[in-house]
Amino acid sequence: MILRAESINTYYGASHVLRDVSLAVDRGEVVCLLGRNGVGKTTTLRSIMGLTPPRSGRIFLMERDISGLPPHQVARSGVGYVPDDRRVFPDLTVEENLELAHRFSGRQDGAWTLGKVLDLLPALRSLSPRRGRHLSGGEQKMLSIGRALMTNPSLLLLDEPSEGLSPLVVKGLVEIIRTIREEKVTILMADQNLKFSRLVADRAYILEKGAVQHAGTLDEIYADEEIVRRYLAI
Amino acid sequence: MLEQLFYQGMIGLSLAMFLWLVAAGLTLIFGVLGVLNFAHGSLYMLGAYLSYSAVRILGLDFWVGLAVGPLLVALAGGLMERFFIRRVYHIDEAYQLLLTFAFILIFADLVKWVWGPIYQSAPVPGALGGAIPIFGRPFPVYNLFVIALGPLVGLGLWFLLEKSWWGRTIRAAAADREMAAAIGVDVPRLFTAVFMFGSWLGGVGGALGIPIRTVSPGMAEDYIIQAFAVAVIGGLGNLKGAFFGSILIGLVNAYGHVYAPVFELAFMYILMAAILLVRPQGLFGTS
Ligand SMILES: Nc1ncnc2c1ncn2[C@@H]1O[C@H](COP(=O)(O)OP(=O)(O)O)[C@@H](O)[C@H]1O
Ligand SMILES: [Mg+2]
Repeated sequence: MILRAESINTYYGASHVLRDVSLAVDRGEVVCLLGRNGVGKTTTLRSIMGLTPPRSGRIFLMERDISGLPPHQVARSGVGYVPDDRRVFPDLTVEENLELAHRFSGRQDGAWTLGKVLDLLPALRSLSPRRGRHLSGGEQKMLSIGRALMTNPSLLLLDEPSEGLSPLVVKGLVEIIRTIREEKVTILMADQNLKFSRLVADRAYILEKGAVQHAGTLDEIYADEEIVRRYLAI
Repeated sequence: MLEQLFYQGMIGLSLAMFLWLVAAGLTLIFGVLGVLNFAHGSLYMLGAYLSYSAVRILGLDFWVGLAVGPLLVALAGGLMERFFIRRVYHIDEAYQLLLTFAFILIFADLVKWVWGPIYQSAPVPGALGGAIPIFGRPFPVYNLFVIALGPLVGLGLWFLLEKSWWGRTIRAAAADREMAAAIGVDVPRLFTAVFMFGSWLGGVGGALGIPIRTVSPGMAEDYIIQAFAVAVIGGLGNLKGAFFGSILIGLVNAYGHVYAPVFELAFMYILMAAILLVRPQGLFGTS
């Protein structure tokens, strides 16, 4: 078990957003958080990362309790984070964005190097000297993924990877995620696109109102019209 | 006539470079941490008092005083950030204003309590003593030294921020604290370091001034107002703006002093108001 969350409760100020969320991800798996807008997918990923620490509950990374650790220590423990809004460093060039992540991860001896990340995301290669703020949305998304990989994570948190991308780019993204997985990086992602999720993920947790409503394989969920209608159909 | 114009310009430039050192720290701290440190002028004053004491009371060499004073100021800034300022990053700016204003009062009383009302200068270091003729009049070598030092500090800052990994980390964290943390940057520690560095710059400004300006309890207020004028004129948080804003204010003050002494102080505010009317984001700021 690489990640285990045990009944975490997370708040934004007074509003109780995550209610006793528990989930587990095995090494090598790709697991997806599914659910409509506002059900708590992003908050779950942010809770694991330590960006909005849960008020109660425990989070274990490789059996080590990481609840309450500040985000930079969670990152150095081997969690990479790709936010839904990309958030590349606007002032830094593509190469500097990547190098900076490499320097701070404390995990430079891992498999991911600048060369390898650029092989995976070739679109970034020619953009190397360009500043983050001058990239298109899709390019920023690729850079955000590359930046997280440069920290050599054991677990990659991917928030809405397919959101806002053209079908062609999404197709490429499926390949990218599969390659990352072959490199033995475990992935926990959040996405609303069931078809896309089915192409890359093994299992899913369905969230609604900040609580886990259902857990199962993607094939099973896809086939269950009742679940799709209740929790996922828009 | 023309000679006096140029001569007074040189005086203005040396005033500007003190201002620049103070405004640089203020600007750096605001640009990275988002905190307007009203007590920055007090750190400048502290730099002057500490270096003054090292030289005049402990009898240390001027250069040793120049090294020690600002380091102690950096330490004071570090404690200030670590135990107080850090707690108000997330809340309303009014609290930042109140807290840093409280520090002005604390530092002012501290200085009066420890040093009493000194109104003195330290001797000019030997190598930089004397004057050389410029435009027919003797101009202090020490002021020339200060005029040369200012741009060097600017160049150093530019290099540090643009070309070093520390600088890149600072720019990344200034733009997005959360994502900097999410790649492993210890942002609170980085911010303390930046605050210390900005305080150090203010302290250097104060320490450099001791041979030619009087060390007095009022210097904090004098300077913070001017440094704010500079920061606003140049564009808040913009170092290039702070540099040229300092030159502008330095020149305006120097010429005002000679040609219209009655309005000396008013000129600075008129200039600030005029620039803000035309360019509310300041000369180098982006709206
Ligand atoms: N910064 C915030 N402050 C207050 N409420 C928030 C904040 N971010 C999200 N929320 C609320 O928390 C709930 C869960 O949001 P989120 O985790 O972003 O959902 P999802 O990612 O599934 O769309 C929503 O009701 C949302 O309105
Ligand atoms: Mg979301």
